[in-house]
Amino acid sequence: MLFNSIEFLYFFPLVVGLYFILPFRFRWLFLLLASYTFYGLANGLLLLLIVASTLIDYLAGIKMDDIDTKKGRKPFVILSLISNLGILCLFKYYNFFNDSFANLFQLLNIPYLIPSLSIALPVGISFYTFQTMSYSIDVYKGKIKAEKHLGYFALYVTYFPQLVAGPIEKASNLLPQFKTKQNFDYKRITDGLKLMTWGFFKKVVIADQISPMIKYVTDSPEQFNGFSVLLCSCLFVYQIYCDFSAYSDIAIGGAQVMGVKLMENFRRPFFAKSLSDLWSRWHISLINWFQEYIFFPLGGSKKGRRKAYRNVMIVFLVSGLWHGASYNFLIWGLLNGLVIVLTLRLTKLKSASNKKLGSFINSVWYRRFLRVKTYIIFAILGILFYTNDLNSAHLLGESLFHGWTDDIRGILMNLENERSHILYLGKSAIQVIALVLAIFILEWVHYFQEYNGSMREFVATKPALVRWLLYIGVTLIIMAFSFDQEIPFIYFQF
Amino acid sequence: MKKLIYKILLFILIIFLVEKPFGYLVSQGILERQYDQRLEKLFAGEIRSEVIILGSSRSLNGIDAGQLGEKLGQTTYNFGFSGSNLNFHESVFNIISNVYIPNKVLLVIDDKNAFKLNEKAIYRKDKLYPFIQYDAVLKELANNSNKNYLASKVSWLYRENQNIFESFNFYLKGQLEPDETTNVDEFGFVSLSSKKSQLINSVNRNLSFEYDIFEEQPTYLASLKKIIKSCNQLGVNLYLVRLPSINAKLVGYNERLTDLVGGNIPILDFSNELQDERYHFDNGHLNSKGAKAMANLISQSISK
Repeated sequence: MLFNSIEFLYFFPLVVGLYFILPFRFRWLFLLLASYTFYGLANGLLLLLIVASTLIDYLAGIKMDDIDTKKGRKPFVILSLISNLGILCLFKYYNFFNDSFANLFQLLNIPYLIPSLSIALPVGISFYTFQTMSYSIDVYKGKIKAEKHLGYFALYVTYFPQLVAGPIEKASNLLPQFKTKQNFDYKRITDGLKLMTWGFFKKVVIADQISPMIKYVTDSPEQFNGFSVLLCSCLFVYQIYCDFSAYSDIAIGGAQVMGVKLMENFRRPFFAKSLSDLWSRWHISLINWFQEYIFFPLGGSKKGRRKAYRNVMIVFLVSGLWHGASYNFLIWGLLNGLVIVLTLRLTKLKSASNKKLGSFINSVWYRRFLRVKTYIIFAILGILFYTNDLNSAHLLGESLFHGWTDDIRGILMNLENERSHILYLGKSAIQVIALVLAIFILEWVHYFQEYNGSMREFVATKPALVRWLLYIGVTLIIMAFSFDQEIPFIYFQF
Repeated sequence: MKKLIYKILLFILIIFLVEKPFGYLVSQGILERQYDQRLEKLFAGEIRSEVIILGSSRSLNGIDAGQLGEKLGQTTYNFGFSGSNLNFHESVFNIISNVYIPNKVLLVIDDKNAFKLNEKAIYRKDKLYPFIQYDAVLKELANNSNKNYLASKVSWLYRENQNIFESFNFYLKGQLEPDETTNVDEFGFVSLSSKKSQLINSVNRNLSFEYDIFEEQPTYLASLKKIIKSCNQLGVNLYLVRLPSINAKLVGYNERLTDLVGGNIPILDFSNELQDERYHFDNGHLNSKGAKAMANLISQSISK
């Protein structure tokens, strides 16, 4: 079930209503059934995969809990990791690696007989497998005790607000909350609903409006020059941000309504002054996971500069592969890592140039310059993310440096309606104006949050009439923009 | 809890009251924006023709409905839509039969692409959306897209939301300019110029190729069968029509059509008629002269 579907509009109030009516002792069971329904409506068979993963990790956890030494616990954590990574590799990476080997063998003129599998990627597989792996590793390290109650553990794996696209929660945060009785709290519930509404605004009014523009470019990349490619890349960053952060907002808001606090997953990434800063604000739960379970175990940045760089590259290589089984994502991850490593390498050079700039580096304009620079780098790297294959990425990457004068002339002269092609990327002027307005609202909210704190608290200080006008206005806008296409969240594919 | 429930109910009530005028404005704007008002005329009761023509641009431009009506002595109207597929033709038939029952339906079947997936013939949601305020249209859109029927019945703004930008354009720019897909005459027919031929002469009409059954899409076959079934139930005389074209000949197509529709549905095959270039706008479409001549041929066939 999609958050942005009509079905969810019935499902969520029904679940919340029954949740508060039911006695506390039945709530976990009810939420578990609701979560299985939420996931199983799309494909019931794939539920078996989650159930299998749940049972393996539950049993491995119980076994580890009975053993005092790490050495004794090791086989069970390995079993858990192999089963989770096995599921992930089979469904997500098997065809990628198999096709790569097939191509390699073909190149060497050696027959290759292992067939590809025609299997659909289970929705949210990368999220719930990472979540359960974190549980097993934490139990193995003795950071947490294993969960004895299978029902609570199953709910931790499948809790519907964050099941398919995170945030990837740690057991130490989520499990205790399921065991605490949540009472009806007016402010908490309305705050949750407001966050959900904001999520719907970002998804429906911004991300889904940009989606056809990106498709317009990727369907025929050879038709576009530098200006359109840069515009498309900049818009894509907004699309993926609004799409993914919207999911997180709806998940966090939905859980908040039911009294569960999920972790923050995005913190205004477009205010980042460098790429590493951006990655500390983007998909925070995944980055934390990588830090805790890959970066630090490899030695982090404490074992010398070279090893720190190597570890950064490994993390971003894995991050690229986590996002998708293709060379595009692999290279995208590596390039992100490379930019961060280069930035770290150039720190000395940077501090020397900063001295020359003097007080300018403390000015608003310098901060803005850094933000725009970071945004543009992220946007250009995004070409690898939104194109379907390396050829298209290469084509658009090359186009980025060509045809700027033709594009500008086309926009200004508008002969044969070129403006619609170059500037509006297939949309009409009025649709683009509406989109720009929506992005402006988004940026204003971000600006307010960055420098003044919570927007919800700010709105709460306004008179009731203003607040109600705002809520009604936003709801009407969402209704007006929710066209007949329920565009799935981009991160569902991961 | 009561406080929250009351507030939510009040909120829904206000939304319910406020969204209606917005939805109404959009629905009025989008109707006025359209140059092609055939569906609006149907719902307004201005079209109750005895003979209806359905199909893609080949039917829209290929049969002069005024001429055909005159020859048959029966009112005739052309409901062809450019770039539409059989699923869409089924929807148009359902919409018409929801309003009134015609006496005869001429369903123009494209040649090689009628049952095959292709970019040139799609389900033209864009042609139906401007008229979504009518329940028959909403039902078809709900059946053929993700538009939610129940939610559309509840919310006028949601129902009309696909039309918002175009509706806004009406208030800014007025009605759309006519083009060769919308410039319909009083019988729903769009004539293509006899002077500006776009024929590709290199096509060899003496060549032929086998009709490929394996490229057929089950949904298109199902639509054809549903049209046949509905016509049978409603007592409508259905005719399948193949129009002339200047393309390589398609072998085995009539036999396949007979297999699909059974012996009771007449197949009027004019694919080898009007081979003179003066009747053709391009290799797939007749010009105004061709459309007139076609109307004469059809009327002779039906009157036999």
